[in-house]
Amino acid sequence: MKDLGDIAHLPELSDGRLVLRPYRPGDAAAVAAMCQDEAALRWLPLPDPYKLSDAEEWIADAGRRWREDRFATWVAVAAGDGHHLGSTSVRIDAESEKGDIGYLVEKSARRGGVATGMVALVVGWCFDELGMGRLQIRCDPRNEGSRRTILACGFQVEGLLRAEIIIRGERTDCLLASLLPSDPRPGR
Amino acid sequence: MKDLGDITHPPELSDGRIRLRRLQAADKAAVVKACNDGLIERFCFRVPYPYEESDFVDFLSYNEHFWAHELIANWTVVDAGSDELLAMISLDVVALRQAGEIGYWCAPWARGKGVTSAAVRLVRDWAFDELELERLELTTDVDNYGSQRVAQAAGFRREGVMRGYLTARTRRADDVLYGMKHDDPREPVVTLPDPRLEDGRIVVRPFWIEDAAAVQAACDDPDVARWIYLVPRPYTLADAESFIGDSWRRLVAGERARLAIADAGGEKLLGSISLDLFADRQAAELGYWIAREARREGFALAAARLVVRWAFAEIGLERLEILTYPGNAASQSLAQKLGFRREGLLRGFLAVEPGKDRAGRVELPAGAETAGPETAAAPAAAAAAPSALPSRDDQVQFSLLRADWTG
Repeated sequence: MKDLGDIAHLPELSDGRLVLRPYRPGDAAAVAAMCQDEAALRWLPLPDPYKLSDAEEWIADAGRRWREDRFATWVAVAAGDGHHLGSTSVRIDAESEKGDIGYLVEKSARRGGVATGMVALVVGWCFDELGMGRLQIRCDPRNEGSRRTILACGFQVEGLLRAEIIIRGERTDCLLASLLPSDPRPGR
Repeated sequence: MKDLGDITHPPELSDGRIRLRRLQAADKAAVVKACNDGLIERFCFRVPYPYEESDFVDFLSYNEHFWAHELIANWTVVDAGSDELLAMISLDVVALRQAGEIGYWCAPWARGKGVTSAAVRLVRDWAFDELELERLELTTDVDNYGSQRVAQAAGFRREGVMRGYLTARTRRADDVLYGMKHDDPREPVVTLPDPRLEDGRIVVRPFWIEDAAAVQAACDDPDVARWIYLVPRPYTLADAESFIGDSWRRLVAGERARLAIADAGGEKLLGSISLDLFADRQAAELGYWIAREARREGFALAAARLVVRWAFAEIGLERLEILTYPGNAASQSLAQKLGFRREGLLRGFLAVEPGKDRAGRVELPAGAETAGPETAAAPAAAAAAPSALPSRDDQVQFSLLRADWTG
């Protein structure tokens, strides 16, 4: 796998329709609005209520998050007019060459293939640029939109992890899905 | 913070069992005896070694001036009844930050009785309640297990490791910073306590450095190397010593309880059992190995039962996991006997360690599938070259929830 120390700044990734770019301070209002949405708060361990200052802290911490925690986070915008569509991330464990992908789509942009597009870009970067060995996605089994994304990106569901994560004090199950470099990747 | 000019000398402090008082000329013999000790040499770099009577005389003559000149309060810790010398403790006030740094040593004959923890609590309360300091700190070598337990018992929290913090007797050391704020709860902060778990036939306890030869003999074994990720092969005595050192460091850090399985007397090493904590989700991964000559005696199952009970009932975990190679039938059978449920086959979960014999790890059947009902398709690489092992190893994952645990 590529030495992550050589990557000082996260690259911009695009498929012509979506652009994943590093966070900018001006993204705070859009990020806060997206994270205040009921569906986001239901499935993700976000602060509740989610304040503008939470978004500002998240954005200000992005550089450190990558350098120190190998937690790569991007904002997704439309390739044309640059309007905000969502967020995606991969938390890399360099030692085991594995990564955990996460994503969240702006309410107005749901059901438009944004999540699938974001994950495909992150997958391409992790496997084709970095040479990682395995990618994972965890999601709540009741989160149908996320399950569709997992399958659309070619991930295979490997099992149901019981009481695996804690969201606002409550332990919930989550599906574990994976993609290996040797697996077929749809649309590629 | 109070005006420290009002305090001409640190007061005596006592909890009824121990007393913190001024150093006296009569303490000479006890201080000289205590300071000529291997652990004080190793971890207390300010204490001269070997410690001569003249060192004591110098220390005593300057002791009266420590507070007036440097805002360092120094006490001798003695038994409240007999006045026997037990330890020494100091508080170094950093007025600029309204903070204080606590330092101490404990005489070899007084260790393991909570003396130093009690002394730290007395100094802590004086610093917060009388001097009205905002913060206290305590730094100690990452390998100083006892000192970290003292800090935790007094309510200090582990804040970080300061790499290459100082040179002590020609050795550059990493130190752990423990800190406490004036409004922190004044109660122990212990993620992983020292266990001693027994069922009459075996004992599960922390490793001792004396176990090193037995660890080396047990781990220099092809089966242990095959089934335990990252166990080096060949396995040297230095590997065993670093395994034990790492076990202590992580136990006191609250990251991992890697414990020895020993016979009922606690002496003869039978194996190892570990819990790797995922503190953010109150979960842990259970792992183990058993020395070759101790296998097929049920020791792993007995030790796992003790550790599972400890994890759920004492540490308060909610979920335990076992991950093992698909080819490791013994571990999967153990998981099932403990009531763990299989959750899935994690494909390519582990990177392959160079130079390891992987035969049998993933049970690759001739002609394709890496097996497991959850796997929809065989990895393309395996299909293209059926005789080649894939570049990473699969793991089977099992879990046990506290809610399902039947004791």
